Amino acid sequence: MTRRFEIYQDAENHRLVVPCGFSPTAAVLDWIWALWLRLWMEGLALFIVNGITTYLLYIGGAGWAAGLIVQAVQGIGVGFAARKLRSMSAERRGYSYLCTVDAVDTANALSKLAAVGGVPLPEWRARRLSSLPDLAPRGLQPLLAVARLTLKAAFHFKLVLVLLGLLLAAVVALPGMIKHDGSAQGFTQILITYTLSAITALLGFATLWLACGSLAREVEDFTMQLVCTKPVARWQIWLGKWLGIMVLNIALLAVSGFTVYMLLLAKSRGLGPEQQQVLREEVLVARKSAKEAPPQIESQVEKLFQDRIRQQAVASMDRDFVRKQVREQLKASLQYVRPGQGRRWVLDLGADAATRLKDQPLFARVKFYTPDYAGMGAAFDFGWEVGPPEGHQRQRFMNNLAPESFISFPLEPGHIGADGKLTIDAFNLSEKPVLFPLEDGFEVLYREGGFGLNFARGLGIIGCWLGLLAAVGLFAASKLQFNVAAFVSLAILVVGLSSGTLKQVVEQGGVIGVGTEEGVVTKDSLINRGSVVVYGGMRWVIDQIAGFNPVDSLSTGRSITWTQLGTAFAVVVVLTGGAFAGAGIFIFTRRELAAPQ
Amino acid sequence: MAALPIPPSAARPAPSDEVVIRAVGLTKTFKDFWGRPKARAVDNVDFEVRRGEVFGLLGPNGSGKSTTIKMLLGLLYPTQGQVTVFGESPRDVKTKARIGYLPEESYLYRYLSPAETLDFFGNLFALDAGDRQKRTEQLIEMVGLGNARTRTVGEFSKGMQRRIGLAQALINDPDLVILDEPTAGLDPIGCREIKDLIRALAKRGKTVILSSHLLADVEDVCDRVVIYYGGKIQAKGTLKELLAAPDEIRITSPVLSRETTEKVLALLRAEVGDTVRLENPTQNLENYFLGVVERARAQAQTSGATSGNSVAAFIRGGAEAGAARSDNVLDRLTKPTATPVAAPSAPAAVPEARVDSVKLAALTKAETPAPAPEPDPSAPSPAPAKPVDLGKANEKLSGLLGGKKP
Repeated sequence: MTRRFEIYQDAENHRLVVPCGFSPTAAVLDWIWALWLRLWMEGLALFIVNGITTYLLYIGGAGWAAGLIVQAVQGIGVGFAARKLRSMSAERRGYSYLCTVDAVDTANALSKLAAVGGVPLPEWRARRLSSLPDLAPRGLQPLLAVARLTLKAAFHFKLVLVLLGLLLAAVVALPGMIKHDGSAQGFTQILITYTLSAITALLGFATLWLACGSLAREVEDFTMQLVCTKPVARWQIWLGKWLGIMVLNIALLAVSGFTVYMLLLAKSRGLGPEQQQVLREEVLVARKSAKEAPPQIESQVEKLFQDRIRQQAVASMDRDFVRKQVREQLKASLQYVRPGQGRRWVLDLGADAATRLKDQPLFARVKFYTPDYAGMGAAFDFGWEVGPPEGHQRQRFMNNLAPESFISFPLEPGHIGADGKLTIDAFNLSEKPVLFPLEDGFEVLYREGGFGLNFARGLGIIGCWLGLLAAVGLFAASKLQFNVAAFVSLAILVVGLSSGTLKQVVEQGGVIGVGTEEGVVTKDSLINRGSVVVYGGMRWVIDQIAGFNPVDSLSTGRSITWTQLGTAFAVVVVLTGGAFAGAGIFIFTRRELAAPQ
Repeated sequence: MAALPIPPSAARPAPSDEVVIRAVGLTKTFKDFWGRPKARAVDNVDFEVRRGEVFGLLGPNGSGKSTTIKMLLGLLYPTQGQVTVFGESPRDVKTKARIGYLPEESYLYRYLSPAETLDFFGNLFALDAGDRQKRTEQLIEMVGLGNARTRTVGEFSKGMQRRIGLAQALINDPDLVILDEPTAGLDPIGCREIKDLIRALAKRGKTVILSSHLLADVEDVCDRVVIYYGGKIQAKGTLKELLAAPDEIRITSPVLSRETTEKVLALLRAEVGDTVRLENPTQNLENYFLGVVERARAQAQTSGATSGNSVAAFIRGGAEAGAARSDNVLDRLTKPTATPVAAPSAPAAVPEARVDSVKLAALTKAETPAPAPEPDPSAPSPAPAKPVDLGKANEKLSGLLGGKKP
């Protein structure tokens, strides 16, 4: 039976025959087959897609059977794409297409070519099967072409290999070099906090560098001039670059994240049984936090304030100060627990919590302060009651806790009320008053989902940060030369990381004429007012972005919800990144590319 | 590159009245960091290019040709005046789908192969996969890079980069082709093929704008030209208009016998007096161009390079005198040979003798082709003449004059 064979030839007249049609070998071996053909990225992509989908299906409860089905479907796809993949491999290895002949096997194909003197007939040359059809809408074709080109450049200049090497070195070597203390928390600290921070830092700097270089270099070596004479809008070029960088980032993030995850599972076996349990219940889990709703105290503050000024005349310029004092007093009264007294928290865990969390472990996480310096090693006795107040089966226990740090301890399951509310009473059994801050003094953590998906969502938030950095780099390169753009974008990053200075400027009311004793601006001026507005705005933006901290959440086993991921995408990528993108595209569109640099 | 069998005489549709490019009062001033004017690269330029024309932009370096082209492509924005391409702003994205551009240097991605390069640019034109592949194959064959498919553009010689540059300019089958120094870096065969290609494009009704320093190229293919100097257009029109002397006529004939020549001259002198000249028809675009530049230099400033400057003293050193003499010798060998007829007995078409003409004739006889009739523009181009070995002739001539070897 005859079939079609494509024949390729290299500069030294070596010939390679590629059979057309479905390849069973490719279908069975899948990514191994791709790597064997030196299709590194394709093989890696197939491996990641295969591994991740299978695992997600598995942890989602679909079981290994679903994973096998996914693998089979992917294998069939690879089998059908074998001809295209092999021709890509051949062309990358220096072969060029010669012709397509009908033959029974590869030897027959070569002998047919030899029979015509090695010079293929014109109709044989024209027989080549066309590439896969363009799946993207025609309007997006130029944008996607620019994105692909950006990726190709990253591969060509070995950036991908270098980055991949650095990432894997950081992920594998860091936990090997730094020893943890044998506890689940220490283990997590090193393996998640350090490695994810290293990944974020490496990819962040690389993203800025690549974004600046990708655009500025092409303007400087004039290739951008040629691109801009084609029917492609400048915004498409800009977004194409961004997309290319992000595809690369996502691929690298997936590879390094997957490696961290696998290492986490593998290395956790080295922990003791007790710590393994802690790891399973408190770290490798997605736990949701329940806190008391913040009390609405403003109306009460206003009432107390009015009572105060009725009792005693207060100068108008001091009224804000008095109101602040009243507010602090009221807050203190809500936060303080005097010796022998108690404090109740009622947390809403959701209407079906009583059944949903019936057998799930709950963890209380507390932090308190004392008015007097307690000294190192000081601890305070507390008595706890958990469960509906009117119930007789409340959990009762005592413990001894250190102040000024977060402490976590387990609560028995089964004490959630039918209305989904969990009531907890704490009694101060020590001789000193203690203070539970309203914001983070007490919370209950409970299981919401598995760690795998939580981890993926955490990586998604890191991806959002990288998206913003790519936009910052491209924004700077929209007008500036490469070295200046790199400097400017790094400066923006440094300003972003120094939110403490911004906060200080806002709190002291400006930058000029700050009194040494008062710590605030003593003389009003336009510059001070302007700086408060600008710095305040910058701080707001930075706080919004920094508010999404997946590393902290993952290392404490807290849940990163889809809503958080969506909000992070909206705030970090769409709003903040979009602002940089809008400004960058505007500047780039107006730029005269052939003007003297 | 596969030569396209289009002789210069091939029938071409006459340029239509449809204006493809219109520049009115086009001015471009480059400014410094503080916004102060630094150089006026293009100064109040007006011209039109009609569909089907091959339009030449001539001028010395820095005269404003490339700046004009970059304004036509929307890469620079006019300071004053306006320019339209197909009736739209050059920055209009849709209009760019009808334009092909070959830049003066290789502005290509060095890490792409020829096929990848053409596929990328094909994607920018939103061509579908089948079209891209077909056109890529054809263009690679056309520009003669079939054997270099697996190499990247960065590995190419300059000439090969010009070829792939030309291929990318044609991937969209453009209605307007802008070629900036298309023959730079190409060998003589490549130059000829480019000219054939331009003729082929013009035959298909395409509009071609050609910017070149090689005047012979322009003369061979252009219908109309503008000549720039100092950012201004110094001359414009069809080659026929520019190169013809309007108050003179030229009668070209095969070589006549001395008697017949004298009879004709006598007849003409009876009509117009002693203003009749007998000369070889050697007026060409190069002379005209240099004349225009000379006149412009006398009147205008330019922010670009000027021509005719002497070599810097530290480079000239002690060889200046010899070099100057050698330049003069070469000048004489390549100089136009117009000579007024002094008397009826003077031999026709003999250059003005500044040296011993008998010795020179004897020395150069074997290498000097016999006077040939002016080529018929409707005939196919003759094969390239064997180039005169100027170095050898110069050496002989120097010996004859008793000077130093150049």
